[in-house]
Amino acid sequence: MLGRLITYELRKKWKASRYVLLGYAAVQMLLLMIIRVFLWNEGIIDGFEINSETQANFNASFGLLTLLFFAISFMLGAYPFLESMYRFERDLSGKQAYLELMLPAAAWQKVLSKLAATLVSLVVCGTLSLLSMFIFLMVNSNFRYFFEFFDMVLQMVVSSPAGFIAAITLTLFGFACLYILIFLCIAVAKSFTHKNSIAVPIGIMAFILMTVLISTLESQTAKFPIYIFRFADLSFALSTAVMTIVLFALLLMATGWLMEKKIEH
Amino acid sequence: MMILKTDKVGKKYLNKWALSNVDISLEQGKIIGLLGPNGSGKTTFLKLVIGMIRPSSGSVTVCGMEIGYKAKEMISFLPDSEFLYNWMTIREAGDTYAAFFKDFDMARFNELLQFMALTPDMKFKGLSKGMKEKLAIALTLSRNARLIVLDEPLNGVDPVAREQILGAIVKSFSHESTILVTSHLINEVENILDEAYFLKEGKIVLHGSTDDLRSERNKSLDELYREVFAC
Repeated sequence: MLGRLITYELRKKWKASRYVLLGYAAVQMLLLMIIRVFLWNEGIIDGFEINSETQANFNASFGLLTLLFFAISFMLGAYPFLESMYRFERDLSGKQAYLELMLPAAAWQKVLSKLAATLVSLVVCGTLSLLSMFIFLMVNSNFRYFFEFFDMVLQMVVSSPAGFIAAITLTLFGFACLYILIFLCIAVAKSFTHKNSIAVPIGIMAFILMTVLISTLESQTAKFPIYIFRFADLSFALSTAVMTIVLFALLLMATGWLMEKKIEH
Repeated sequence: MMILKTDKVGKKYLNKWALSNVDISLEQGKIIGLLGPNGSGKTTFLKLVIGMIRPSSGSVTVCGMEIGYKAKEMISFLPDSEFLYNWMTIREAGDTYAAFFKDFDMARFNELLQFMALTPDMKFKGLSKGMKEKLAIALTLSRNARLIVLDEPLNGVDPVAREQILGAIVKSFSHESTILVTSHLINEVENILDEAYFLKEGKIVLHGSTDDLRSERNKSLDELYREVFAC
């Protein structure tokens, strides 16, 4: 069931985001073309030179469009965050809530599938965002550092593959913890009311309270590490690691419980 | 076999009881009508049955099970509002149901689509209100669920579509299941009902088999409805 739920959530994400992604690609390509064809000059390349001795020849239009390009890239990076909150809220109280809540699956599975789809969306949008910024830099520097960049990335991966994987896993787990906390706060708010004018402040208050509570717990636990172990050049305290995993599971189960037992539609 | 049993079930919103002390027992193989005007508590009752809301008092069981996600496997529900995504085609809606509901019968779904003049490539977004209702009915009736709950299936659709919807209900009815249908279009549903419950201000005020109700009072169900709900 979990597999089917994840597939369903991914399909929903794709259907909801495909035009955003297409629009993003079109706008960024257009901006890049305008910048390169009309505003770019040889002097700009020097702006990408770290130890350049010559003055870069940037102009105001180039600067503004570059700013716009990067702002749009950052917006795409933030898109999964906003979209997942909106989608989760709609799944609990929107028109489609009947379909969502009538699916015969345990609520924690539904929450986990939404979380998995959100993380996939985060990876895709984050990658696209970074990729477009990379393309921008490459195109406007006449691909001067193309091979150096790849060499640098490759060396980073090859020198410590475990560290690279651990860094990615930990980053994703960090995002998963953040998202599940947000989902729980939305569920807490929705278990009181579906009126957004009341639910939003409740959700924000719940988020602040839980963040303070979790931070306090984490800092107190860190004082009693029990055992310190190293993995991929990183040090971990056993107590903190266990508590983080337990907290994640608790947040997941609590969100599921609220969906199943408290939220009414 | 008892499919649905509610024991003194009630639902309170703030200080107001939307439903109180409702005892309903539905047996297998019947089409039962829950009749009442707007605001009488029909939808509240159905939401309690499907687990969308929880009772303030009493209990609800489906095939002897408390309402939970396991019980949802046995209930097929048609809400009184749109519940499908605009991006879905009719085929995708069917595939979604087939993926999640083990009892979904794709052959019956295709048959019902044909019966209601719908084609699988149509997009939900482009369907008229009547077509959307017909699609929702086709999806709901294509499940071999023990309890089929239809909330105002005839609401806002033209007479031809109503006939098709009623035809689809009769066509796909199985004696293994029970259909609970709410409506205030009594004339339209009267002929398909085996039993009727009249709900007034959150309470059951009249109940019986439709044949008994008609013969005892020498009135049609529609006339009885007007009598019960007249101010």
